[in-house]
Amino acid sequence: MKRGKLLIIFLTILILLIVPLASAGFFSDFWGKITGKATSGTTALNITIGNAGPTIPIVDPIDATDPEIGSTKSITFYFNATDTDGYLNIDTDTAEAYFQRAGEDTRSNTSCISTFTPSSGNSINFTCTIDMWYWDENGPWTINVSIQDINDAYGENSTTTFTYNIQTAMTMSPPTLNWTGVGLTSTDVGSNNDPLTVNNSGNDINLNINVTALNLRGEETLTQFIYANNFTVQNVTEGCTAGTAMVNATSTNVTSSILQRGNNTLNYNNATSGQEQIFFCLKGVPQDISAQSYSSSAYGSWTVAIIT
Amino acid sequence: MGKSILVIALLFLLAIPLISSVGVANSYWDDNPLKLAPGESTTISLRLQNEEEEQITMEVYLNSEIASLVDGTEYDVPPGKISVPVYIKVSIPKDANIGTTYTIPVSFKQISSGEGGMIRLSQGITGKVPIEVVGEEESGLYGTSKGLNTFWIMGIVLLVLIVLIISVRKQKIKR
Repeated sequence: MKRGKLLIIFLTILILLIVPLASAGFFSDFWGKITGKATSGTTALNITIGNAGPTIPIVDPIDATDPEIGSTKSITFYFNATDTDGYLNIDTDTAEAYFQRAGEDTRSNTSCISTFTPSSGNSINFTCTIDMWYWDENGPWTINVSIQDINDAYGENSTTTFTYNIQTAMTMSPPTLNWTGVGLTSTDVGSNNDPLTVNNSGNDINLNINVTALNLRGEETLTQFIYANNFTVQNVTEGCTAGTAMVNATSTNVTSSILQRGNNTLNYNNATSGQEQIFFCLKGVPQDISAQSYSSSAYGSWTVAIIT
Repeated sequence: MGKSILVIALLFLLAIPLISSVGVANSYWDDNPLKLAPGESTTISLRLQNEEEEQITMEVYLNSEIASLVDGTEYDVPPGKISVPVYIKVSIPKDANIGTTYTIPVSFKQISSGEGGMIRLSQGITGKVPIEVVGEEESGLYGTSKGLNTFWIMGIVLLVLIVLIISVRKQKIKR
């Protein structure tokens, strides 16, 4: 037999032997079996996908603002939020704005709204409206605005301020004072519709209260009067015990009545609520006048003034 | 007769607002005075507000050597959220020393008749405008129209001078 034929027969037999062994997995992990080294294992993969946090490069300036008497003043302003990952990365539900000042309640809007949705780019403009109260302190307030992206990365800007102006304001009630049942022998009679409640409806502080009284003239006999100095004024009921006597056409201070700023609706009638109460007393009447009505209609109204 | 007088009196009383509210807003206060240099003048405003239901008239009193009212002493203030400005011209004397402070008291008094009860009450407010005399660079007017005007005037003068010099030279050359 030729050597070639023998070689073919040998290879054929070898293949017939190897194929079943290979299919039976005899050669799997062959390298591991002969070297003793592991051929597979587990490893931790940490893949970081970059995220740029949002920024707020522009906060539109707010003009100096006057308070609103006894109410809120709505202040609207704009800011621009930018994310280099694209505007779609900005979470528009997280736009917030705060007005802050040391010692004062923070005023806020936690749902600023996007003014329009861009079709491309990295920025979105937001508009915010925050209400300031009449008793909020005058001076610079910090404008703090913030935003998050969809990955919760946070950006804020608190580099700008606005000025809240000073407001010297008052609200008073009732608008008239009356006395009933006064006779020639009457003394120390309090008004039947006081106290006069004076509210500080602005944000000025340490306000004195003065009253300018004018003589009252008889409505029938025009030559008869109840004089301004027949009245006293005080911040304690009925205003008769230690009240200050008034002087015709002269501004008279109501002792110990100092108005502070505060939330009038608390209605504490004290400094906390920005209120003072004033009582008026008729100490007596001139003994030579007749029984008739006396009023301020001839010489004009009495003035209740707040003074800085 | 007596009943009709009573009815008229009650109607009159009802016409008076039960609550009165007035206010004056100001951009200057003790910690934030108006800053002006000696010789400077400017016009500032105080803003009147009225929260009553009806228009009111306020009379303004201002007694100061360095300030005066621009538009008279009486101001009608409509109800609501409308501010009525009261303009005040402030002029600092040229010889005022830097560091000098002024306080301009400004009083407002509601004008109203005394009718409507035994004693009718009206409101008054006395505010103030603090002023501090400072150097030019610290002045509130620094860099504003006054400064720009000076710049433009100097520029125009310089331009005229250049034109004159050029025309004189041209005439010399012609000769």
